[in-house]
Amino acid sequence: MRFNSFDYLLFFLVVVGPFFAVPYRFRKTWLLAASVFFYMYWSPIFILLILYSTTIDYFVARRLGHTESPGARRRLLALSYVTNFGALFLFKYYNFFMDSWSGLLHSAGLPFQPPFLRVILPVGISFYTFEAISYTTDVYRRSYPPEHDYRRLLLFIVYFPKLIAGPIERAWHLIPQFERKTNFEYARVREGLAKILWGLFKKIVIADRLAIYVNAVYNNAGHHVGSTFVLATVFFAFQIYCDFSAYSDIAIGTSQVIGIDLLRNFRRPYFATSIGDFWRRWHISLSTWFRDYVYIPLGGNRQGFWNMNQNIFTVFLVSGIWHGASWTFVLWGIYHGVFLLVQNLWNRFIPTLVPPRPVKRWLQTAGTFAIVCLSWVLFRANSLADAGHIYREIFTHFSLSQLYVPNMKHIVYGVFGLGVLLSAEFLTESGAYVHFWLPRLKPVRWAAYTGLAVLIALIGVFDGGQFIYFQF
Amino acid sequence: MRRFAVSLAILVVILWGADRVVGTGMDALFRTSQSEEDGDTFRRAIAYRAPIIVCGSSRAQDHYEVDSLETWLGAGAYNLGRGGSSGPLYEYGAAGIVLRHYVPRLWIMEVDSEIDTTPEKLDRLSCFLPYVDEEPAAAEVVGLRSRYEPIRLLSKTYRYNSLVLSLLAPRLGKGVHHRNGFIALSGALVPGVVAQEPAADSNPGAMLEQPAEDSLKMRYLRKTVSALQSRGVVVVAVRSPHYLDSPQAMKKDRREEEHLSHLFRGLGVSYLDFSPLKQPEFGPARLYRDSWHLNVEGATLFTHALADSLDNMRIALRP
Repeated sequence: MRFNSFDYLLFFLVVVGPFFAVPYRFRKTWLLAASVFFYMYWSPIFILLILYSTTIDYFVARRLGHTESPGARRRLLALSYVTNFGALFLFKYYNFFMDSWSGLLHSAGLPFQPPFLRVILPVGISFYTFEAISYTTDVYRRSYPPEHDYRRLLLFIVYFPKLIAGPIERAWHLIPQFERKTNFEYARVREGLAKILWGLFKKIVIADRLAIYVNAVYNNAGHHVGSTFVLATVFFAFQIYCDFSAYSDIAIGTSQVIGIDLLRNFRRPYFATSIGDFWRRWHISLSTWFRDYVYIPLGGNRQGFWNMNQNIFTVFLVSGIWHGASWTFVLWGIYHGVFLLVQNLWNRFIPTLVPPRPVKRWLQTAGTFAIVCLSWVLFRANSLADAGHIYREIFTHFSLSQLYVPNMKHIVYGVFGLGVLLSAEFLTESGAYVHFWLPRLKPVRWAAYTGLAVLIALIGVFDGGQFIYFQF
Repeated sequence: MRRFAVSLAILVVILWGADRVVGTGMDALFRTSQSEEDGDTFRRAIAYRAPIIVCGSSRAQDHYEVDSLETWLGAGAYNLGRGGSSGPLYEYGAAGIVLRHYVPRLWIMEVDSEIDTTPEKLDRLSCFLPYVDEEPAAAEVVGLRSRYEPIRLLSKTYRYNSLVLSLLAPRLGKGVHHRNGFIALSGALVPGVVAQEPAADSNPGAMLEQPAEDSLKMRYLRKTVSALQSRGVVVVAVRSPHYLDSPQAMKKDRREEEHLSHLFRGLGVSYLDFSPLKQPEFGPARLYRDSWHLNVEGATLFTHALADSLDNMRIALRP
């Protein structure tokens, strides 16, 4: 069920509408039933996979609560990891690894025909696996108590607003909120609905419009020149941002209406002044997950400068693999790891010559945006060969006269939508929103709601595709 | 809760008002715009009352020089070709609109091998959105886009979705100049550097297999033919030329020609094939803009050949 579909609108009205009329003690059950239905609407069979891994995690955590022996605790944690990562590996990475192995063996003159699995990727598996792992790890670390109510743990995993593409929640943040007795609050519900509207605008008006140009270029990479790839890549940078952050906005907004806060996922990432800053603003729930469950256990920044960089590099390598079973994603992770390493070296060995000024800040923002854009080539390209070709074209064959413009209207509508997005983000980033607009908010708010709704009807793309992050 | 309900009600009223204002403005723009493809094409075609109608995809739009057809056949012609609209659903909507206002004599249906296979691109049916209130055929095909289309149509603005720029462009002195729907293409294909459109299939075996029939397309193809023929319109299916650059493409072309002639024989429709295999004058690359589209020189040559064939069929184009 896509968030930008009427199916979801109907589901939202049926689930959230009567939510506040449901007695407190039945609300968890109500949300659980709705969430299971939401997941099964896509493919009923894969709910069994979630039930299986959640049941194992439930019992593992309960045992961890009663076990003191470090060895036994480690074995229990390993059982949870094998269960969760095993399913993830089987469905997402098995064919990729087998294919890579056979390619390697072939190149060494050892023919090998691996057995491939004919399975589809259960939607949301990368997201709920990380949530399950975070739960058992927190219980293992004794930073969160084992959950005694199975329904509550299951609801933590399948809670519908964030089930398919995050934000990646933590047990300590989400589970206690299921017990909170929330009433209908005007301001909260209004804010939640406004977030949903903003998310729909970003998805329908910007992301799906830019996708038309991006797909036309990237799916026919052999026929285009550098200038076209630059435009398509900049468009893809905003397409993926609007697509993914739209999903997060709708998820957070939906949950806010119910009275449950989800973790923040984006903070105007393209205003970042460095790669490090970018990762503090982009997919925040994933970055903090890697920080807490990979970077810090590896030693974080406690074992010297070089170990810290090694740990950062490992995190980005794993992050690349998490995004997709393809070498382009692995290289995408490495690319970011390398640039973060360069940034750390720069900060350590090269003294700051220019004091911070607005001009410097904007130059840093532009530079960071350019570096991030170049990484999106790897993320979007259909193959490594395509990515190589695109980089070659960008750096050696940049010809504005050969810029591909099949239908100007897609570009104009997309750029117009981007103008609205960037203006809103600039106002927020600069603080003008808080200092100037907030006191005068009511008429502005109503005008904004009306304007966004009319723009969706007027220039939105109603035959657009799935959210990009659903594939992960 | 009460405050929320009141606010929501006020917002709905404001939204409804804004939607009506924008929608009405767009409607006025639509009816008066000179934009051929995104403008009020169907009403313009109806006003022209041409005895000959050409319908189909961009291949129809770019290949059938209606001026030349008019001259050679001595009867008015209008080109309802539209980029990406290569399917019976579009034909049905277009035929339904035209037939409700007048009965043409000849309906030329530009076809390709996908006329009865490969699901039609439903997003292209959005060209009928501005007509849904008045034209039952338009409403019927628009309804096929999504089961939630009636909800979307509660918005008047939605009927003109993505049209604002194309409707404004001619007023700003920009836009493509058409002549009764025909657009001439410039440029010529360089042999050996063929931009495939659609993308070439990477599996050569699959290229030669007959794709499965699309039941929806077949149903609407039958409905279109029957609606036209029952009103006395002569329907002619035409496959205009496309560039053949390999023995495999020629083999595929032969198979498609057999399939289409069998299909239209079954439907009781005359079928004309202008494949370079049957008409070698359409072989040279210089006649093509890309492998699927003739340029202006190719379009002139093709229209002439088509007019000759139609002339030989002795269709009564005048009352």
